[in-house]
Amino acid sequence: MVINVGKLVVKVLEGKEKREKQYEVMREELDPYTTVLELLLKIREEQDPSLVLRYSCRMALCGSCGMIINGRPRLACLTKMKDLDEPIRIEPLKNVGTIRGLVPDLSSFFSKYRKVRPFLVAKDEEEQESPKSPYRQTDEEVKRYLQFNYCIQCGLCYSACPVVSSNPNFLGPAAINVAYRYTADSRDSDKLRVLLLDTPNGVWSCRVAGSCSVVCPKGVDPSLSIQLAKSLILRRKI
Amino acid sequence: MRESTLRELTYLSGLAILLLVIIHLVKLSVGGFTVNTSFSQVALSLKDPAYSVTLILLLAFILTHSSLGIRRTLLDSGKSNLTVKAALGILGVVFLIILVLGILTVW
Repeated sequence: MVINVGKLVVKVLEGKEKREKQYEVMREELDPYTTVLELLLKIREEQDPSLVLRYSCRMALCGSCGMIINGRPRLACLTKMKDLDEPIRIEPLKNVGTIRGLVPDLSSFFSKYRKVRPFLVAKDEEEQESPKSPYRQTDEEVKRYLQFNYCIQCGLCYSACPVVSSNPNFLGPAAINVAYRYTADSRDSDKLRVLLLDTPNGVWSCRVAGSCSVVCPKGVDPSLSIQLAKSLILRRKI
Repeated sequence: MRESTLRELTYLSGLAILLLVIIHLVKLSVGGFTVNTSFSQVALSLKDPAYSVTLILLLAFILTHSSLGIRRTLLDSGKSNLTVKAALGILGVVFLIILVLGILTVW
């Protein structure tokens, strides 16, 4: 899709077949701070009601509007048009399927996320079901995992990862990040999670490309958490 | 065997290769490379048990390191576990033959 706004060119490659569509929007109707999401919604409202995309909060909290914008995974609600070179090219996220239009199928992403047990595990079942006292943490204990807690599961890191692209069995940056987040939490007693990471398609598949950290909209730095997870695995073995 | 153990083995074999290659190259360089690679000189060098063992170890570590590297490459390419095991099985036989031939060469 090409949108000409005085003229701004935007190409949208939608659907599983990546069909290219072009639209025209008057540049005067936009301002430099218009986001890609606002632009797409304007197109949908005024020109093509069949344009399908996923969005929710519009403020980079929910992670729903992830898509490839000018070759890079970004959140549409966070990406301003003034920061983009023209023509603007939009397509669905890579490394995941496409349901329709620009809507990604994140089922593989979330199944790997769930696989690493992303929750606190107490030392025994009784404690898990009925904690006897509050879990207190020092500032230092919180700092160990706080940065990695900001993940909004948008899937941008998964889409950017070159290892996921060649090996669909790789857990992916987000899953390993959340696994490290809970393992580094002093309130957690799960011994199984680390073993899940110490597998052929776990942390050791990571090649430290760093693409995940570059595209993360929340500054999580999943590449760092993956390397910390490797270090943790080796130290625990010793 | 855990994946982290295999990774440690990869790193250690790599370091061992580096060290042994340095010894091998120094041995070949001292006195002149052309002289040291002549048939008579090589035959003489192989009579030294320490040097022979060094070469066998170098070969063993190279075969180990490359096997682990090929395994990792196949896994990262998304190949199934069955394919990886089959490939490593065949490779294992070939590498074993190479190692035996190497030992027989310096024997």
